[in-house]
Amino acid sequence: MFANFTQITPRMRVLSDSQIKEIHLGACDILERTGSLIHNEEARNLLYSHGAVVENNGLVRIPSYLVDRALNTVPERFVLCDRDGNRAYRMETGKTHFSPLVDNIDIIDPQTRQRRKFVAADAARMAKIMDYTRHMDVVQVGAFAADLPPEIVDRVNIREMMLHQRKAISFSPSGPDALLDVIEMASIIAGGREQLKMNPYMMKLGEPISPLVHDDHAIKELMICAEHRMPIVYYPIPMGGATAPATSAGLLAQSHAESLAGLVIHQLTNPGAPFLYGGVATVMDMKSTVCVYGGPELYLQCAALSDIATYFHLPFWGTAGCTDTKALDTQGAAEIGMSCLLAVLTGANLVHDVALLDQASLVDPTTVLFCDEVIDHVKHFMRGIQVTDETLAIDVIDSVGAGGNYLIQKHTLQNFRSFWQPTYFTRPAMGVSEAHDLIKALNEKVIDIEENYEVPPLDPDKVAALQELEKKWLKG
Amino acid sequence: MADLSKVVEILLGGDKDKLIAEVQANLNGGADGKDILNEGLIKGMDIVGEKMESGDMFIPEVLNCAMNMSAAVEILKPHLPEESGSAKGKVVIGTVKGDLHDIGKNLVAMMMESAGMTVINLGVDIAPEQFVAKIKESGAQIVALSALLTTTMAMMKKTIDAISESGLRDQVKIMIGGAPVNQDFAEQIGADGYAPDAGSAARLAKELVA
Ligand code: B12
Repeated sequence: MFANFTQITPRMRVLSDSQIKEIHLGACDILERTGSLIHNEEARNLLYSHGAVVENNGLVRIPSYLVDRALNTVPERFVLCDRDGNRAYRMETGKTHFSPLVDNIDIIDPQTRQRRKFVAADAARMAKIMDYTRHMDVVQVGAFAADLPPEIVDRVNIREMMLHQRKAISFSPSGPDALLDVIEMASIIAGGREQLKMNPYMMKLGEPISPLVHDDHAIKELMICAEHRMPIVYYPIPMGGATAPATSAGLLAQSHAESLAGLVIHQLTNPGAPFLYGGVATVMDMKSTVCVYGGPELYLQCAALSDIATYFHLPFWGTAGCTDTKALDTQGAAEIGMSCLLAVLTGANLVHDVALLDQASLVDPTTVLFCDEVIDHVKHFMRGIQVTDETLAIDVIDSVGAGGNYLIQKHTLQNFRSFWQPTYFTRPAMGVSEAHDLIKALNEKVIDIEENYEVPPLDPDKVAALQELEKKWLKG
Repeated sequence: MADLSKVVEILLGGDKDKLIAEVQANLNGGADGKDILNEGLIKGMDIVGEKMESGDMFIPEVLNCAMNMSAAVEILKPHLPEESGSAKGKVVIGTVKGDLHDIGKNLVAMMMESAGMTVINLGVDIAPEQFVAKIKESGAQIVALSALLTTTMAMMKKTIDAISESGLRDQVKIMIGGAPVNQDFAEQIGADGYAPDAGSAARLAKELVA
C-alpha cells in the first residue's frame, strides 16, 4: 500500500496563503499607522524601549519588526494538564479540545427546567457534569454567582472546579491581584510554581477592546501571565459594522492587529511564554443590535482566523457550540451542530463558549450533554479514512462475491464495532411511531449524574493548602 | 404651506447632500423653517422610527438618516424661532465604574441624539462623583446609566445614591439599561425607568422629560 502515507484528516481552509499575507500586512500597517491605545504605562515603557513610538495620549505605534520578533519567539504549541497532572490537552496541530463556560448570569435548573439566577451552589453541580462528559476538556470559569460578593466570586468558583472536577481550567479573574491568587491556587494543584510552568493546569482569558484599545488590567494580567508562563488567550470580539469594519477582510485585519499588539507585549515581557491566538470574529445583528453568537459570518471569520493562526504556527482558540436562541431548541441544535463541525474542520485547538445560550448569558447542563454528543459525532468524522490492505478488503469483497452479504463475515465482526454508536441520540427502528424526546432524556441523565456520579476527591493535603490560602482572599 | 413630502422622501432615501439641497431649496422658495422641521424632517424621522420597529430599516440606516437630519437642522437653525431650536432634553450618559462595555451605551446615545436630545457621553468606568459633577455642571434632566456586568450592577445603585446625597435627585430622571438589568432591578434601586434596547431607550427618555 502506498496511499496511507498521505492519509488526509478532514480539514477545511477559507483563506489562501496570499490572502493571509495581505491581511497580515494590513494588520502591520494598522499597528504602525493607526496605532493602539495602550492604557498601561509599564507596557508602553516596554514598547518604547524596544523602538515603538509612544504618544502622549497613550497611543502606541508598533513597528513591524517587533511583530516579526514576537512571532519568532512565541511557541507553536503548549500543553494543558488535568488536575492529576496528566498532559492531556494539547494545543497543537491536529488536536481539537472543547471548553464550555460553566457559570453564568442564569442557569436552567435541571429539576424544574426553568431559568433562574446562577448561584454559588450551582458551581459544584456544573463541575460534576463537566467531569462526567467525554469531550469537555477545559472548563471555563466566567466568575458569576448572584449570591456571592463580586470581588471573590472568581476564586470561589475556581475552587469549586478544583474540588469537584478534574479537567483543566480557564478563567477570567476580577483583576491582577486576583490573578496572583489564582496562580497560587494553581501552583498548589500542580505541586509547585515550577511544576505549574512545566505542566500548566490553568489558562487565563483576556480581551482587547475593539477597535484597537488595550485596557490597563487586561494588559497587566497579560504581563503577569507572561512572567509566570501561565498560558493566556488574548482575544478580541470584533463585531462587524459596530466595532470593526463591516467587511470580513477588514475585520480580520483589525482583529489580527489587536491580537498581535497583545502578543508583542506578551513576548517582550517573557519570550517563549505560551500564548493562544484567537478572536470571536462576529457581526452585530443590525435589527436587534445583539452580538451574533451563531451565524455564517461568525463561522467563516473564525475559520479565517484559524487559517491565519496555522500560517503563523500559533495554536488557535475557536468559538463554537453556542447559539443565539434562549433554549436548546431546533435553531439551537442546528447552530451548535454546524459550528462544532466547522470548528474541528478548521483546525481550532481549543473551542470555547460551548453550550452557551441566549447571548452567552445562560448555561444549561442539558445543553452541555447535547454538545458532548454532537462533538462525539464530529470527532468520529475527523478520524478520516484509513486505506490499508485490511480496510480496503478486496479479498473479503471477492469472497462474498456479487449478490452475497457481509453480516456473517469475520471481517465485519472484527470491524463493525468502530462504527459510531450514539450515546444519547437515537436511531429507532422503522415503525416505531413515538418520537424520542431527546431533551427530556438528556435532562434525566443530568439528574442521574448529579445523584449518582462520584468525582474522585482532591488530595486532602492540597485541599488543606487551598483552605490555608483562602484565608488570604476570602476576607477580601 | 409648501409641499414638504419631498423632504420626507429624500430623508428616507439617506442621501445627505440631496437632503441639504432640498432643505435649502425650500428655504429659498420661502418655506417656513418651522414647517420644514416639523412637516419634513421630524415627520420623516417618525417614519424612520416606525420602519425600524417593523424591521424594514436597519440600525445603520436609521443612524444615517438621523445624522443627515442633524446636518439639515444646522442649516435650518437661523430660520427657527429660539425655543424650537433648543433641544428636547439634556442627557448625561455613561457606563458605571468598573465596567468597560460601551457599544450598547453608545448606541443608546446615538439614538437619543437622533431623537433630538442633547447627549453628554461620559464614556466608560465612570465613578458616581463624576456623574454628580457632570449633572451639576450641565444642568441635565436625564441621567442614563449602563452596566453589562453583574458585578457592576451594584455600582448603579451607588451612583443613584450619590446623586441623591448630592441633592440633585429631584432635578433628574434616572434611567438604566444593559444586559443583566431589568425593570424590577430599576425599581429596586430607585431608578425612574429601564429600557431593553436603544430604540426604546430614546422613547423612554422623551417620555421622562415630556
Ligand atoms: C463585546 C463584549 C465585550 C467587549 C466590550 C467592548 C466594548 N467596547 O463594549 C470586551 C471584550 C472588552 C468585553 C470584556 C469583558 N466582558 Co464582555 N461581552 C461582550 C459581549 C459579547 C457583547 C456586548 C455588546 O456590545 N453587545 C451589543 C450591544 C449593542 O448590546 P448591549 O450592550 O446589551 O446594549 C443594548 C441594551 O442592553 C441596551 N442598553 C445598554 N446600555 C444601556 C443604558 C441605558 C440607560 C438603557 C436604557 C439601555 C441600555 O441598549 C443597547 C442597544 O440595544 C457580551 C455578551 C452579550 N451578549 O452581551 C459580553 C458580556 C457582557 N461580557 C461579559 C464579561 C464577563 C466580560 C469580562 C469580565 C471578561 C469576559 N469574561 O468576557 C470583561 C469585562 C471588562 C470590564 N471590566 O468591563 C459577560 C457579562 C456577564 C455578566 N452580566 O456579568 C457577557 C454577558 C458575556 C459572558 N457571559 O461572559 N466584553
